[in-house]
Amino acid sequence: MNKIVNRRFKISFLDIINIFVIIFLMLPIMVIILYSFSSTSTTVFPLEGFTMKWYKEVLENRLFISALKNSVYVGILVSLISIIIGTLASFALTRYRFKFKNIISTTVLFPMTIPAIILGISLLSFFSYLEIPLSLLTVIISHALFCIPFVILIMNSQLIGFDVSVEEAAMDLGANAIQAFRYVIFPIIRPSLVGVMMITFALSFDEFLITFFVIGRQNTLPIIIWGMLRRGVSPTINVISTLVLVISMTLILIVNRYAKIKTFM
Amino acid sequence: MKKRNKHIYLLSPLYIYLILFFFAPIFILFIYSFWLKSSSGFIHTFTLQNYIKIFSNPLYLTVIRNSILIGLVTAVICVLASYPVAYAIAFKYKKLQDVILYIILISLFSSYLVRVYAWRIILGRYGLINQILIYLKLIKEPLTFFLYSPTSVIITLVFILIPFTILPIYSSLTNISIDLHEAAADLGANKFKTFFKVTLPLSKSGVTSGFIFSFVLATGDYVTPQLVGGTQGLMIGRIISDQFGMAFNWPFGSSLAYFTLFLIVLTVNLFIWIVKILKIGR
Amino acid sequence: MSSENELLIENTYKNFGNVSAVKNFNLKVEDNEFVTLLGPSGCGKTTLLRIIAGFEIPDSGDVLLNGKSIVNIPPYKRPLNMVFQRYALFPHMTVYENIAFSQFLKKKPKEEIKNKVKKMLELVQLEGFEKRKPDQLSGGQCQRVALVRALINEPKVLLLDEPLGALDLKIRKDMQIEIKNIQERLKMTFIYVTHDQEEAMVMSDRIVLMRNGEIIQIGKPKEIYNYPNSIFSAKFIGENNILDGEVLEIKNDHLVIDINGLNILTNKTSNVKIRDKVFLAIRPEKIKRIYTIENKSFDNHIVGKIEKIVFFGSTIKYYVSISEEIFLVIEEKVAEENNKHVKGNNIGDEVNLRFSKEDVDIFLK
Ligand SMILES: Nc1ncnc2c1ncn2[C@@H]1O[C@H](COP(=O)(O)OP(=O)(O)O)[C@@H](O)[C@H]1O
Ligand SMILES: [Mg+2]
Repeated sequence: MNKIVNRRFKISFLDIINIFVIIFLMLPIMVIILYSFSSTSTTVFPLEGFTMKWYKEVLENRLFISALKNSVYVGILVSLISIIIGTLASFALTRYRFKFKNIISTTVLFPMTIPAIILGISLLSFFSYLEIPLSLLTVIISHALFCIPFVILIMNSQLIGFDVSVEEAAMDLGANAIQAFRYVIFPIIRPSLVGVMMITFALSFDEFLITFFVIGRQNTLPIIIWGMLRRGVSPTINVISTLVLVISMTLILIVNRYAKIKTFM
Repeated sequence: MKKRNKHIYLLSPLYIYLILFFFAPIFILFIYSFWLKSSSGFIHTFTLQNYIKIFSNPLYLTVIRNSILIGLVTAVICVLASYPVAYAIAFKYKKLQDVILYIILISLFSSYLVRVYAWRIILGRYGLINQILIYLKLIKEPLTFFLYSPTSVIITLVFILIPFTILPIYSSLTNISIDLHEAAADLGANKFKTFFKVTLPLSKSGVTSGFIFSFVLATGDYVTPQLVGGTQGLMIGRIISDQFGMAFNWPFGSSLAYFTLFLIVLTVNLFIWIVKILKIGR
Repeated sequence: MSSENELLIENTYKNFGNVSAVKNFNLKVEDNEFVTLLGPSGCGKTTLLRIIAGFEIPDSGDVLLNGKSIVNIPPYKRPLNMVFQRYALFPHMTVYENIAFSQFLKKKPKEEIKNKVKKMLELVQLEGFEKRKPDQLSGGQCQRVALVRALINEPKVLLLDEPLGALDLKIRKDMQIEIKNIQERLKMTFIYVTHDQEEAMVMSDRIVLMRNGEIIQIGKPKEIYNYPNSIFSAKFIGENNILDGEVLEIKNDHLVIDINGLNILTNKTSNVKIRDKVFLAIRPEKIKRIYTIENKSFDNHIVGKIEKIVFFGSTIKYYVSISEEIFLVIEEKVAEENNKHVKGNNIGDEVNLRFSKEDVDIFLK
């Protein structure tokens, strides 16, 4: 009996490492959120005063609002494009056997594994070579490029567990390919699609480095955050950062609601 | 028959997209690396001059070497620190599993730029660590050893990238069934033996991909060195990007990018080869 | 249902890479017939069923329904339905929606669908389960839903792929009877797949015994049981004592087979020569014990020792060793008299066994 109790309350070396890692994962996020309410314009310890004035300032800032709009616009289109292309490809990769399948399934992951800076300058060179003007469109194209592999990875893990005989049962009962998709496959994979949509949106929403190279005159949120960081510390950075964090966290919450996060890994 | 080729229809949007916006761009970048810069634009020629230039100025080689070293150290620390975490989530914390995974995911998906910036607030000369230490009267003058140096870059990169190593290791560990552990224990292996003979070899794939992920991302990082690295922490990303910005020497930037990419791929393959010949656990 | 409702499978072949899943398959299934495809796992039963349903296209050969080829008709247009190995219920639909699915696709009026589903639920005693989702049903209930989901479409032929494979023995036995009753009541053609020979014996009008994609034997359960055409049939259907021997003598009305020094007499068959290697098969229930040794002579009379006794309720099995290498299983009905009074019911006891030469099946190696 004693032994059991002992075991339960013993904190091992493993626990210490875990606690340490988790604290340091959360620390930066906490610091930012906390100091967005600080009344001083520099980061001082201990925190002095509580204010919402920086929030007011940010929300009245035209630059911020337009960047937010752009980020949302880009995020939505990116997630639509990458979900369509990625899910179709994932169906092919999980349902059919064909030549060079292994090679193809590794190749499609390349855009995810190459350093972002190289992807960014490649795309910049490409657009400039073809004299395509930089705009939000070039940003969307570039973001979708690295989001597609994520969609494929996640959808593969979902579709491998999908019982193909359910789809065959639908066809057996008289559904043609379109009806089988509409009434059976789509409703079953819908939660995964919602999850992937949120994740791709979050990826696009946070992307900085590639955007930095391929964006034209307009701004996305990370671009204005970067601009502010380079210009020096301003308390409004904390506010914008907090808003960005809150949006990302909400997305992950939604993902978790629709599809168990664990199944994505 | 008709069914046979269905996969091609499903894959063709992806193929088109990748060829147009991935393979074509990296190919064009490759072409650029053989051009030259002139006062009016770029000269479309074929010369190795840009690559020769990399070797002629020790600055470039030093920065590339430092970047790769920082990447390697970061990746090693990431793997070493995330293994216990992944192991504990997979086998020890049954109840806390979801919560910890959730925290890791939040961290992974919360803005990378913001997190790097937060580390600057924490680590800076008048950052939170120094302020707290002074407040607690543990020190009089700010500590400086972790400021604006490769060390601060590595600390920051580790905490930014650790989710990328925890997750693959975790998922490779969850593929190991508890049965295997029990079987090993049954056959008289003690905890350490079980770990080295069973757990570690089977999680090799997770460790490998976690290492590769964190190494590539760290080596090519652009934001961290600029925000927390100071002049000592200069990394290759900055130099490449400057060629596409102020210096306006795209051809040279392209050759730097290709040379760095070559070294990264080489290092990754070297790592895979080492893992193979080590034959961990056999 | 029309009476000329007949399914014909002709010279059908199907390969996967270099695996030949179905080979030279010829089968005619009559109207209202319950035909079972029986064979070990991997012998091509599912593949054949999928060819009939339209999910696989045969490499060569033809499938005809009422004389018309259906191989080029896509599955959703074939007037056949299938009950899948693992139910394959639609997880996001209720029981009602699952069953109504085919009728909904056919755009039948709502009232009609409702009545039909109701009838179907009655057929399998699932009234009141309409609103449940598949994950709220037991395995047996899922199977019933899968069955009526296919039946509601009034298929010309119903294909069932090991529908009871995932169920407990007890539910399985009940469902065997239930499915058979439904088939007889609705007067439909069923093609049923199983690897369980007992299930096949209980349910089928005819059994198609398969191995490696080929038909080994077709016949009524009793025929295959009593007259196996090959050592494979003899082993696969029912229990059998298989002995490995050599032809020693060919007499006028019988053969003498040498089994490791033990001689066994069998009926004469035309195609054996002296020294031929053969297998013998003797059903356990055909071997009788002799309690009082009179002067009667039997075709085969063997002495052995009881090694093990297993009680099955209505029957009892004795595992008897004849020599170092030869073992026989014998099966007896449990009857009071040979339970108590007669000696020879304990492990280690010596027993005298007899069987006639007609009861020995002989197969060339
Ligand atoms: N889609 C497929 N691809 C490759 N081989 C297959 C496929 N389907 C079945 N096979 C092979 O064909 C043979 C027959 O399989 P199957 O019809 O499923 O047998 P059964 O249902 O009798 O167990 C097996 O060797 C199996 O491995
Ligand atoms: Mg099968």
